[in-house]
Order: sequence, then structure tokens, then C-alpha cells
Amino acid sequence: MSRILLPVSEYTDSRAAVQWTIAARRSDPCTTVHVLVVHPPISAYVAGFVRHCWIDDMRAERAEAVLQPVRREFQGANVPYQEHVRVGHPADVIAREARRLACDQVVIATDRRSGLVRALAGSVSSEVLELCPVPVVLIPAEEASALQRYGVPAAVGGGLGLLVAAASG
Amino acid sequence: MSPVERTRSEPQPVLERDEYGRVQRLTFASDATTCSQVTGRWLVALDGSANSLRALDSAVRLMPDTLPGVDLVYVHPPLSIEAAESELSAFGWNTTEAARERLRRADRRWCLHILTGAPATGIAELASRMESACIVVGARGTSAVEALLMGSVTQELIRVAPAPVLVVR
Repeated sequence: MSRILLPVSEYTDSRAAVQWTIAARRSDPCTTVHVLVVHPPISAYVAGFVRHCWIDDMRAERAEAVLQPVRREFQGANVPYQEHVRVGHPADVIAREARRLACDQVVIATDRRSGLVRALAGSVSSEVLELCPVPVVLIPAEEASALQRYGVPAAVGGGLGLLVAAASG
Repeated sequence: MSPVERTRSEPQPVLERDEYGRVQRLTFASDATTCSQVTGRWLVALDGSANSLRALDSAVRLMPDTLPGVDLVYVHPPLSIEAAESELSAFGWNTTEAARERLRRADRRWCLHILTGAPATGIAELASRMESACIVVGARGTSAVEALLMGSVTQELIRVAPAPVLVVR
């Protein structure tokens, strides 16, 4: 009996993560699957001026867009699952839900970025690794695009260089 | 100088050398059939720490029961040609003692690979060569700053890995 938590988001391609989950379920038919969508909280400056029903509508629409392909895959493979939609800081919520649902693995898709870029730009999967009490399976994206491999580090390096130049000049 | 007869506790490994004749890769197996080309196994990285043993436990629990065995890998920091010749196998064999004992108790067959050099690239190359279904590593729980300065094997591995990475802490 194993429980898998599968957080999905619009920023990463979760197809490979869904396939991993289906394969795990195939090897152990007692596996239960929990699909989690986390909406980041909306700043109080924005929320104060926007109707709550609009925010709810927007969130429902986004969750629907993320969950649609996941549902199709799971139904095609005949895998039962539960959906959870939460609001909060993604890594915190993922760690909390993993504990609450007593999952024994968390499966997340991740893109191939270097440690420096991760640390500076922030990465949900790195944060989950730090917070999560249960084993985390990271499903890497196919291949890093040229922009991610060279463009982002170059931009970060250039920005840092400018900062140093400005500080010393 | 008379040659010193050294008693080896480890069985005779399969050696692989690079173009300078340096021992680059050693392979031990729990039995004769495990290491013959079976692909799709899980690859567990060991460093002798308690965390890597926890990673092994999780791997044994989570991997499909149908798999014939598990690959273990230990990466030693680079050694001189002479040291690699005489000591690498003993280093690797002794460091992975507890892990092998656990697998024996869990009644799993194993294939131990001992490499030298950079850990992340070594593990990733081995994984693509063995066509591993999953790479399992233990996270040491270094803080973000430490990981940024020292470079974390896990972070690097996630970037270059050819397969999903299971991180256990």
C-alpha cells in the first residue's frame, strides 16, 4: 500500500510525472494517487481591489487547465485518483499535504537548471527537497533549451557583473 | 623491496581502465547473473552515510517487486594511478558494507559499481549506460547557501540525470 502525491502546475510539463505514477500503480495496484494543484496567494494589494469571486473564477479556470490533461491520462490508464486544490506557498503546501495524506513519495516534474540559477531565481522543486519529510522523485524535463542553458546564466552573470561594476565604480 | 602480500576481504571485481591504464570502474555482483546486461533497474548512489542507507531502504520499498535486482554505485574522489590500483576496490567495498548487508537481509540481488572522479557526472553516465529506471540519492540536508557555495551533488545530478531522481532525506 503506497500513496503518491503528484503536484502539478502550469509551469512544468507533468506528462512524464504522470507516466511515472501510472507505472508505479501498475507495479503495485494498491497505490493511491493524490493530484495536487497549488495556487500561490494573491498579494493583499491586489486582493483588496478585486472581487473575490473573480479570483475564485480565475483559480478554478487555471486548475481546470492544469488538471484536464492529467485527468485524461489517468482515465486512459484506468487509475483512480483524488484531486486536491489548495492556496498557499507551493513548497510549504506540498510538504504539508505530503505529511497530512501520509504519502510515501512525492513526484514532481522539474526543469534542468543549474544550482546557481535555482538559488537566484527560486525553484519549487529545490524548496520541496528541503522541506519535504518524505522521498521526492524529481522527473527531469526532456532537455534544457538553449535559452535555459546559456541565456539565463549569461543574463544572471551579466546582471551580477553590472552590480559589481556599479558598486566599485 | 619485497612485494607485500595483502589479504583482500573483497571478491575479485571486474576492472575497467581508461587510456592511461588507471582503474576507472570496478564492478562486483552478488551473484553471477545479476550484472549481465539487464536494463531498467534502479541505481542507488551510496557514500557510506546514514542518509544513503535510508535512501537504499526507500528504494527497496518503492521499487517494483518484479525488478531482478538493484544497482549500487559508490564514487570515490580521484586517486593516483597506484592508489586506484591498490585501494579503490577496498575503499568501495568497505564503504558499502552496511548497504550490502541490508540487501542481503531484504533478499535482493545487487550489482556494485565503484567509480572515481566527479560524482554527479559519473552517476549520470553510469545511469545512461545501465539504462536505469530511476536514480536514488540521499540528500545531506545542506542549506541553500552551503549548496550554492559548495555545490550539491544532488542539484548537479538533477541537471544532468538521464532518468528520474529519487531524493531521500
